[in-house]
Amino acid sequence: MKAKRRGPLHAFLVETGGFSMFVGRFFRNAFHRRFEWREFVRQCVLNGNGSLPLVAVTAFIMGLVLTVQSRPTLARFGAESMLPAMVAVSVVREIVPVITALICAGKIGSGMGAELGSMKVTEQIDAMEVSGTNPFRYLAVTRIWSTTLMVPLLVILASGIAIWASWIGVNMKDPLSWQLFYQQVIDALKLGDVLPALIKSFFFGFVVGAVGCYKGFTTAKGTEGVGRSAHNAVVMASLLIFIIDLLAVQITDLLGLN
Amino acid sequence: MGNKIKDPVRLGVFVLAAAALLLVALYLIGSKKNLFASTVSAEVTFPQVGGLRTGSNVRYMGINVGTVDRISILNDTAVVVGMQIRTKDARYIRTTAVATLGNDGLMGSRLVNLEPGEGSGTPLTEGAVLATRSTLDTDVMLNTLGRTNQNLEVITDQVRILAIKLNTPGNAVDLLVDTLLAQDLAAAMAELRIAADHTRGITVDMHSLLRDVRAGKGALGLLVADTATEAQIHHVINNLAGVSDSLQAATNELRRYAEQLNAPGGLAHALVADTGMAGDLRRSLTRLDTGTMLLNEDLRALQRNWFFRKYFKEKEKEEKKGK
Repeated sequence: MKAKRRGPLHAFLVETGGFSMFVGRFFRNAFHRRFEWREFVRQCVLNGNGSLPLVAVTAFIMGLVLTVQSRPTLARFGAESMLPAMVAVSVVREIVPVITALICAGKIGSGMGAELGSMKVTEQIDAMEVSGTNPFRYLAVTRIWSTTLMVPLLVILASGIAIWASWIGVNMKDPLSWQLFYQQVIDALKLGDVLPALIKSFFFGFVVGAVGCYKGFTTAKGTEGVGRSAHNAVVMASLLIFIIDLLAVQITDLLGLN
Repeated sequence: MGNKIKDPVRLGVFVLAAAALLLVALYLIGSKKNLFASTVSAEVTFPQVGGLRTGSNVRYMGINVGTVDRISILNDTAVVVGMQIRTKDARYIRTTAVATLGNDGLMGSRLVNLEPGEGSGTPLTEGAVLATRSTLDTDVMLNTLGRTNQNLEVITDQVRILAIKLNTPGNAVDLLVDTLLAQDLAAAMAELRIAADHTRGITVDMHSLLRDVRAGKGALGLLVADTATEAQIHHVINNLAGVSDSLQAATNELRRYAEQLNAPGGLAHALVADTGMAGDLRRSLTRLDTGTMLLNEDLRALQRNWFFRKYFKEKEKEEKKGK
């Protein structure tokens, strides 16, 4: 019998429902007392330390480029002195969290999708289940927790690096002491800038890990499906990052933190 | 096995670095907002706060000393602004300090400026209420600018009308742009220059002449400078005065004579004014003429008389001899 062909809306609903159930399963297992700490630490090192060089270089370039490119516009209004404040707020509130999350989605999410997908298609996950190990708790929960905690830490470090790069960018034209630059940055930043960015970073990290694991756990159709899972993990995680960012902006606006 | 030991260490370094950075940032930002420092609360009341927000800075003599922690409307003409001022700075701020609203730079956010007021006062204490002073507000400046623009519009209209009038033919500006007039003026100026040269020459001559006169040269100089001539002139003038008196007397006599002539009854008056006498006189003259003709005729007859013939013949001879 020929299978009935489904439309994209059906596929979307299936994907949404499947992912929601996957997230629910995560929360059911996330706080289990038999937590795989060793795997969790390993994943944190892989995802956090392993992503740090890429994130650091990207943050440095972002801070530098944003400063250099913003200077002429501010100079036109005679507001060059506002450059540190503008770059700091832009970097801390929006640019670094989103870009870091996207980098993590590309590096970590795709890696998880491919790794778990290949385990799935080679039936290693089934083998773990047979051997008495809970594959979801061992593979998914540790990974999702690791990204949920590591991405915010990466965002914090990346913000510091981007601000430092901005100081270098400012000094490329006119000398400005670090002390004055840092004072201007601290004066410009408010808790309402830092805390929302930090909180949404946890969500970004959660999405990166959850989508990567979900795509890995739902991989099908052999090795071809592994590549598709990795690709879909990046696309879906990136899209969800932007959606969460939009929601975060709306919520901070409602709370009067903008 | 080595990886198993290294992993937690690397992760610990990573986590601690990030956590430390976050804590430092939060502390610095929080301390700026006086979250970790002892503070003194004070309040001021403004008619309006012009965009001031909670968290805005409070400055004393240009130094950040606190933040605004509360803004509430008291009534339709008053807004109460609560401030948290660091205790270590509050001891320098007196209760006589005056609060004004200001801007952090040209495009910066609003803030509260505290300035020392008159009198000594006491250091700021919890719950102090400070006086306020209104400053030049942007809205006031814009209103003034609006009025200036309106005035400028009126002036521009008037200038435009003036320009139209100036461009209309037959006005004073035509004279200014008329090239022929300019040429005429140039010619007139040239003539004036020549006249001025002549005048200057005349002036020089006059000056020379006056100098000569003062020096007693020439007839006029002699007249002016010679004392003898002066005496003669005085004498002449005196004589002229005498003659004038005589003429006056003669004139008086003539006037009196004329009056007598004009007086009715006199011969002259009859000759001049009496028409009847003129007729009589004319008739007498006619008669006289007639009598004279008759007499001539008688005389011619008498010359032929033998009695007088000899006399006339002798007279004729003497005349011939005389020639």
